[in-house]
Amino acid sequence: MYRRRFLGLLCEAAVIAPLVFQIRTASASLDKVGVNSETLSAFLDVLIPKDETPSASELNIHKKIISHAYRIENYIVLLEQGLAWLDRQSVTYFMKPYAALSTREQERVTYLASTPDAPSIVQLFFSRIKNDALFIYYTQPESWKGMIESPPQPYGYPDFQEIG
Amino acid sequence: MGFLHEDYDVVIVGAGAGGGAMAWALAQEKIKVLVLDAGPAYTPEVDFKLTTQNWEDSFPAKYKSPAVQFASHQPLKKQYKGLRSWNHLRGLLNTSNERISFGYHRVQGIGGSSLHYSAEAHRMNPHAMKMHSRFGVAADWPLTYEELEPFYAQAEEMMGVAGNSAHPPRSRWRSTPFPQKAHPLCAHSQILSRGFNQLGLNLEHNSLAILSTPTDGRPSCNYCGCCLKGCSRMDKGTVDLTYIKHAVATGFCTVVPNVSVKRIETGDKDKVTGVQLVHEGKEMHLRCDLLVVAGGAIETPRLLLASKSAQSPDGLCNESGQVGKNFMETLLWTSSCFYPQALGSYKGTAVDAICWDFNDPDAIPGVIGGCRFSTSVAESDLLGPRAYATRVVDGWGLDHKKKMRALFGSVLSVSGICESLPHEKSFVGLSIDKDESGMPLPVISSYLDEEAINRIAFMSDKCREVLSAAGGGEIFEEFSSYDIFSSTHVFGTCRMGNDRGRSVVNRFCQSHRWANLYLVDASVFPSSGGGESPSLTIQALAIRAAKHIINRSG
Repeated sequence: MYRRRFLGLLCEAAVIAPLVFQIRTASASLDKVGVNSETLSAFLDVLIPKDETPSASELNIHKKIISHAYRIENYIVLLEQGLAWLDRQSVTYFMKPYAALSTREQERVTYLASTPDAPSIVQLFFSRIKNDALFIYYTQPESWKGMIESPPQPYGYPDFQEIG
Repeated sequence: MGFLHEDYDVVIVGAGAGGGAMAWALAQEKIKVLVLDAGPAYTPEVDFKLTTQNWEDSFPAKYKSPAVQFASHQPLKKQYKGLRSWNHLRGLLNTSNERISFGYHRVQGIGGSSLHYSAEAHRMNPHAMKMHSRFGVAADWPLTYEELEPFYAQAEEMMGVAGNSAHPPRSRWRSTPFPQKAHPLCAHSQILSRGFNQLGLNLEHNSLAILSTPTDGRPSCNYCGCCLKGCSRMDKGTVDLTYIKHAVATGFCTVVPNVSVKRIETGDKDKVTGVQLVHEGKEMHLRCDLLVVAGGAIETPRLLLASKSAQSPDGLCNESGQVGKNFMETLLWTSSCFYPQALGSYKGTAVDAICWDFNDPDAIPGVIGGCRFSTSVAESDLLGPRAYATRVVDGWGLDHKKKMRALFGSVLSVSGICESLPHEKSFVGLSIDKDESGMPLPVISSYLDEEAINRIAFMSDKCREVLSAAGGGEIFEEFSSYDIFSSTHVFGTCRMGNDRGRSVVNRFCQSHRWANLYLVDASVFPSSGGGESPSLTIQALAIRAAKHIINRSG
């Protein structure tokens, strides 16, 4: 029985877990600024850009993240603070908000958020939003190209014995 | 609520492996049976999600399972840091310095945990049934493999077990071939078998309650790998589609879901007289001539302990003080690594191959208790893009997407499960907290002694060796029972035995004191075995107990 389901559960738990302790400790000195959906959409497109499969924004992952955020305690605060930090860094380095930067500039700012040198709330924002965005993105069948063609049923995998 | 106004010969609490098999065996003999379960009934083609975009979701519980509390906070030792659970993207999965719980995983509902099991259909290793007389640990089974064998054969026939009759698992002689031919090994298992062979070990066909040939109106498997998420195709032998279906077809079995039994009532002459239950929010009483409890090794002792009375001040059936004691759990190790070639490793039955070489209780050097190894891509839930994106593939941006397509289907995963032995610090008790019906919640206390940790260490070494020998690359994730309690197979909390001073039920699963009360689930196991999955043994014990009831009534 799914006696070893724990890893899958862990994956799902990360998506729905509240952020009470982490936010309280990480954001004590930060002000509320509101979720900037334009910055969020641009940020998610850097994490999940278009190639042979759609970008995050083409699948409305930013809207799903915001909708998801309202169901989880403190998630909105995390989004607000993380996106505001991206915009502040963008203005500092490039004198434009994050959404107005070129892709290459956005990637440089995003890289700053991904490093251990970033403030703890930004590190938390980056890892959590990235994880949840990937989780939601790869639930969309449009993202499966090059991996699987459809859900596993009703066809199953008649070629299961073939290596490759 | 019509069932309250009918008379039944036998009332069964719990519609999983034990309750379902018991219901079928009794109904066949025209004994009128009522089966109650706290959970709902499932409709596989509707409730399970394998045809939808959300197919990677875990098993879709249709209702909120009652809470189970975890009381142990065993400190973790630096010397065992190599036994911690981790993932290359997330770091330690338990960042604290004490053992934590990821929970007791089961399904309450018609079919019980068979609805989400991997369909392993194992017979007990006879050598693991005499742990006390051979090694001075646990307790001996009060019956032999030989006595159980005919009932194993019946259970396998009922569930449609596929296996390799030419090479059945060692030590388990068979009176009949497997009912179904073995499933071919998937690509992932073919690669892993090379690793086992390199080490001089044998990776064999696992015996599975999954149809390889269409039978009983159900199709054969099409190898989607998603047994644990709920089999919408219905080729997996679940209790609802086998025992329960055929029991109901006799006309002698009534099944009622969503009924919680919160107390067993007793009368004079050491007889159980009825149960208190909650159905549709109302508390009711049901009279019983004969009661069978099949709630599993957590819920069964919970119900017995909660049924204490002036006649049974320490809980029902607890004259020996053994109810809730001798708790044994799932002790597990899993390692997963990259493989330098696409394998389609998400395809195949969930656990199609197994190594029994260390299953005998003296097979692990220097430690009492055996183990088994098996393929575990499905049980590690490495089946779809979502799992790869969040657990396997690092980075972000275009590079992440390219890696997703390059790495998808190219992982190897192997697990070990070992013997769990009773310990005085491992038990199930009652909490001061209560559920909505006012019934105390169960509390699991679990403790790993040095022997248990050494067994886990042996499995970790062997899993890593196998992956390396199979040509696997970097390990990216390991899961361990050392730092995280996470169990589906639990045992021993109402052990069976011949000595009524040291056991709860006799060799027919009948209460030593209450002659019209039987327990048929893994709570009666005197020992856990060396990694055998318990479902088939529970079924065999239940059919045997049913025969005892039939003989008594006849």
